[in-house]
Amino acid sequence: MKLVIDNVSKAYDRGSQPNAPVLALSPVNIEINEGEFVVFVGPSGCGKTTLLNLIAGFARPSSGRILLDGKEVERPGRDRLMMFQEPALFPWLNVIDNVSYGLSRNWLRRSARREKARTFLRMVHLEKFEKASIHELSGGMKQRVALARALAPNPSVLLIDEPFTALDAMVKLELYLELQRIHQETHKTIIFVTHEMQEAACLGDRVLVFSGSPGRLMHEMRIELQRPREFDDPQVKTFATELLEKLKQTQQEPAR
Amino acid sequence: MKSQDKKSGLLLIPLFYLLLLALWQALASLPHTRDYLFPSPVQVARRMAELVRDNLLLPSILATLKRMSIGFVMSACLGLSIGVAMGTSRVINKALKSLFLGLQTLPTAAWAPVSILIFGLSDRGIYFVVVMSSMSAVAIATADGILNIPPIYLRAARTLGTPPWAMYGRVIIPAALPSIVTGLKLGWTLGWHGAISAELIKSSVGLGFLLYMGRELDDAAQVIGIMLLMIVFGLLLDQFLFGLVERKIRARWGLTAEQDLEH
Repeated sequence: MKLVIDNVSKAYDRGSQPNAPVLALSPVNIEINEGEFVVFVGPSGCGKTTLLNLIAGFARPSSGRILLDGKEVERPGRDRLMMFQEPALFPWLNVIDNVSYGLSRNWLRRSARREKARTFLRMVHLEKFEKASIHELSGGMKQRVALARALAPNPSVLLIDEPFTALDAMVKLELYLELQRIHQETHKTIIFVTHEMQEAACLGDRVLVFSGSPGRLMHEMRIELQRPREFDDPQVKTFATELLEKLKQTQQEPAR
Repeated sequence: MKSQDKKSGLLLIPLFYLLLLALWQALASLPHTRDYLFPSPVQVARRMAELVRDNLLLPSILATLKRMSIGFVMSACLGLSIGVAMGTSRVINKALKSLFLGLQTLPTAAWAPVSILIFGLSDRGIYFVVVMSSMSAVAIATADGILNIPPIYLRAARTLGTPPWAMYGRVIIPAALPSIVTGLKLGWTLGWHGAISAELIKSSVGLGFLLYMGRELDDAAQVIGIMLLMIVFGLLLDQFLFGLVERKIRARWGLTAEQDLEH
């Protein structure tokens, strides 16, 4: 598995001035390898979420191509599953049916799909809640179910968009460890978007720093620390400070 | 606490109706009450028993329920289809919404004359009245339900590999279901009103017809008895047909306040 982002840019039309589109993302080139945990970090409006949406297939690039295993990305699909800021679980389904939602219906029967979904519920420690309704879960539990639902169809790449923003600090700490453990267990390729440097340093094998107006990729840093990493680990903090420094430097440079 | 409330409610409701019956009986037995205008519960019960014995009541109930069911199924199919179209296209929604809101303000009985003009004295005319009375409520509720679906559900469904043709069955209709059921419930009530109005004017069998006959024959006991029967049917169908479905859905979604016995 290899994800190639080849000279991809994105411009949006402005309603008022149709001939002067806004550049949301200047052309970027990124290659992501199998099993990598990559974090896109940067302030809002830096194009990181735009790029994630392009990879997911929710929008098409204005230029360039995104290739997954040599095949161009054209529309959303299970091979590039996205997890959102909100859990976005379906309230008309219970927990287990939410998790099995993305499993293929062609060759798997309902009971087999449930059985498979159960494995992923176990992975996020919510097997006791398989019959629960969504509204009965706490915010952190909802995101765990959302993670299980995203993992179940076995995507080539898991795209995660600031999923812990709305959660309280204790729950976040727990989920950072959980996500790292699941990454190590499944060797899933993960692209994680955040605006928090420490979160980026804690989670990423490789951190890509984006900067705003127009959104562009400024810097790349490898985080070579042992896993699992604690969020409050001094080494993580050092990397976070360094990332922030890089971002500040780039913001002082004029846009190229 | 909650179960205690429920228990006292179960006791309270029959008690209330017993009291109401007693009051009715007392008023009817006052010296100056004329029983051909204000019959007692006993007289009403006796008249209803006669209707049953003469084999008038049961066929009427069945006829009304049959008309209502056929009319309502037609109305639900039409209302759902139009509602889905409205929910899918903002242009269609804009165009049809004001029309349907307007139609909803029309009293259901107002459809009866035009249905006689078009269909004469056939059952088809009653289906027509039921459909026209209830379809707009179903359509509007379906459209609103679809238009208010949080876009994140659709995005989640797409990234989870839902093909476009399966979106309606797996996401759009289920997500709009609470609103759709509310619309169907309201549509059933309006259709019930419409069916009775139509039967009053143009039928030879049915609950509306028995009501009309009661008036023709100056038979207050029959009029009141049939009205009570209509209330009972209305309540039963509302609570048990739609009420149960609605409560189940609301519980699944976590919308319920649990204590809606009075609802």
